[in-house]
Amino acid sequence: MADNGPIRIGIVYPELLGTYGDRGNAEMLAWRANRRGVAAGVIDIPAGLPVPGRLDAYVLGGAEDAAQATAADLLCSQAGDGLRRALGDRRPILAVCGALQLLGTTYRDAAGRRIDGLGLVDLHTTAGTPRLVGEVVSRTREGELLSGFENHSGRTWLGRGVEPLGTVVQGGGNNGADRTEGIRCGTLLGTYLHGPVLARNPFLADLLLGLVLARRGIDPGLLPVPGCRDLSAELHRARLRAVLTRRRLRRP
Amino acid sequence: MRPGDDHLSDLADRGVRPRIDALTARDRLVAALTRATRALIRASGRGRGATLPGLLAERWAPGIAGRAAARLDRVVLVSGTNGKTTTTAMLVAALGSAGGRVTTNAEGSNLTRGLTAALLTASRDARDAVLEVDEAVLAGAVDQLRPDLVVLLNLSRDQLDRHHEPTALATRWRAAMAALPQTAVAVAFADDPRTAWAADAAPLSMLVTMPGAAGPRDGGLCPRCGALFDRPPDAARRCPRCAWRPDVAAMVDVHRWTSTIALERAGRTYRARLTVATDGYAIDTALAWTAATILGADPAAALDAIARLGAVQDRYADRRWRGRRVRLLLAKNPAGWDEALAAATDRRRAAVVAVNAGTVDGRDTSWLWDVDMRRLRGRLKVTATGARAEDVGLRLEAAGVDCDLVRSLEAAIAGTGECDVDLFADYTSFRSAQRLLDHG
Repeated sequence: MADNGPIRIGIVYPELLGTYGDRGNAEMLAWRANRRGVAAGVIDIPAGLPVPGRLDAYVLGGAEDAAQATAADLLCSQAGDGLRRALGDRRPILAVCGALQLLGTTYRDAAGRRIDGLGLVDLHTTAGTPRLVGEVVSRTREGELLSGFENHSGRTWLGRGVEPLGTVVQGGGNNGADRTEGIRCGTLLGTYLHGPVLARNPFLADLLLGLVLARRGIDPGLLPVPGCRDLSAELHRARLRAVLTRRRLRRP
Repeated sequence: MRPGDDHLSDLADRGVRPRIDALTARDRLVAALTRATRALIRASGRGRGATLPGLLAERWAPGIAGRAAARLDRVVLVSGTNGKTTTTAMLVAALGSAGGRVTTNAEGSNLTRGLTAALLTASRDARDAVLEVDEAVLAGAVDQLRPDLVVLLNLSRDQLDRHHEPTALATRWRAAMAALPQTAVAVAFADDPRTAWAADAAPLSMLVTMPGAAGPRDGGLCPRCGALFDRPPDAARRCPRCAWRPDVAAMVDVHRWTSTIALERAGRTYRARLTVATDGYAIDTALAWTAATILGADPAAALDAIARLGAVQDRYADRRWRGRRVRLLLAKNPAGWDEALAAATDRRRAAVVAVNAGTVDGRDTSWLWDVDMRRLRGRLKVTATGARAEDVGLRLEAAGVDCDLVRSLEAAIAGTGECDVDLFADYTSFRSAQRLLDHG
C-alpha cells in the first residue's frame, strides 16, 4: 500500500529504553533521509501506550535492569502487538543493547531473575562478569567496518542459523567469546554498539534507510546526493582511526 | 513523626558524638609525611597535592581516614551527579558564617584518596569537615568516616562506562544510608525519587522540594519496584504499583523567581538573591542551607553567606580573555547541560562546545544526543571542539545548528572574533579552559 506522507520513525518507550542516548538513532535516520530530499520525522511512543504498527521504522534502546523488566512486561502485553505486526510486515526495527536482549527469548539478570523476552528472534542472554565496556569494531558481511561503544554485562548467545550483524575485530561483542556482534535477521537489526550506532556508522544508517525506502517504493539510487560534508562519515573515520591506530587491519 | 520545626529541633537536639583521638603513633608519622608530600608537590609546581598524598597515606596506614575523621566534631559528606563542588562550597560558607573552622576538599578530589588527603592536611584548629564525595564511592566513605550528616543532591546519567547507572547507584546509596550512625541525618532532594528513596533508609532525614519545577531527568521509574510513575515527578506522588513515596513529614520548600529564591520551612520564609538563576542552583542552595541549619547555623546568616558566594572553582564564572568575556559552563551530562543552557540564554554570545570524553569524563559520548541542542539555534556562531569534536559537530548539525569544527580549544575560542563566548565543557575540557584563561 503506497503511502506518500513523510517517513515516520518511532522511538519505542524512550523513558524506559533510552539510557544511552538511543534517541540519536532515530534522529540520524531522519537526518539522513532529509539530506536526501525525503521528508522524515521522529515520533516518541511513550511507555505504556500501544506501539503503532504502521510506522516506517522503529528504534529501541538500552536500559537498566529494572526499566528493562518493565519494558519487557509492557511489550509482551497487548501494547506490544504493533511491534510484532510491524516485524511481520517487514518494517525495519533497530534494537540496541538492552533492546537486543529484550527481543530474544529470555534474559537472566545479575540477581538470577528470569525476564521473558518478546521471542522475536532466537537468542538468549545471561548476565556475566566482567562487564564488557569499551570501543568495538566489527565487520559486516559486506566487509564494512562498524564502530561503537559497548557497555553491557549481558552475554548474548545466538540460536542456530541466526546471522550476526558483524564479526568482532576489536572489543567484546555479543558475549566476548564467539566474536559475533549483534544480529541481522531480515528487517530486524540488533547490536550492542552505542555511539549512537547510526551516528557513527553511515553505512548502517543507509542500510536501514534503504529498507525503509524500499517499502515505500523509492529507489535510493535515484535520490539526490547532498553536496555538503557528511559529518557522520567524518565521525566514522575519526573513531576508526582513534581505535585502530596501533592495530593492523587484517582483511577477512 | 512530627512535622516542621519540631522535627528540626529534634535534629538539633539529637546530640553530638564525642570526639575521639584514635590516631596511633604510626598514623601521626604518616600524617606528617602526607603533609610533607603535599607541600613538596605544591612547591614543585606539579599539581595541588590533593590526591597522591592521600593514596600514599592509605597504603602506609590503612583506615587512617576514619581515625582522622573521628577527631573532628562533625563530618559532612556531599554527593550527587551534579552540583557536588558548588554545594560543598556553599555549606562551608554557611558553616563559616557561624564561626566554625571547616576543612574541605575544595580541589574537587573526591575519591577516597582525596578525602583522606583533605582530612590529614586539615589545619590543627579545624573542628568540622565538609567533603564532596564521588557518587560511586559514597558507600565506602560512609563506612569509613561515619559522617554526622550526608547531603544527597541528585542522581542522573553520567559516565555510564564507570558503572554509574543511576538506579544501581541509588541502591548502593540506600544501603549506605541504612548503615549511618543512629544520630546521623540525610538531607536530600525529594523530587528526585532516587535520592529521596536512598534518604528514606537513613535514621533521620530532611527533604527539600521545589513545587512546580520541571523535575529531574531519568526520574520516571519507581526506585523501589521499577514501575512507571503515572505523573510528573514531585515529592508527593506515589508509585502506582507499590505505593512508595518520600517521607514528606519534614520538608523545606524552594521557590524561585529568576535569581530570587524563597526557602520556606514550617511557616517561616527566608529570601535571597543568588548569582546563578537556575533551578539546580536554587535546589543546591536549599540543600546546603538546610544542612547548615541542622548543624546549628543561624538560618538568615547561613543563607546570606551562601548568596554572597562567588563562582565556585570557576563554575559559571564569566572571565575576560583577550578582549572578550568567556563564561565557563561545566556541562558533562544531560542534566548538567539542562542547567548550563538555563544559565546561558544570551544568543548574542557565541557558543563553544568542548568534549574530550577522557577517562574521567566517561568515554561514551552517546549522551550528547539526550541534550536538547536545538536551544543553541540562533547563536551568532557555534563551534565544536575537543578530542571528540566530530561527535559534537554531528550532534549539533542533526539538531539544526550550523557549526565549525576546530580541534584546539584555544583556536575555537579565539575564532569567535570579538564575540563574547559561552563555553560548554566536559570535565577535562573545563580544566583545560581554566588553564588557558589563567595564562591569558
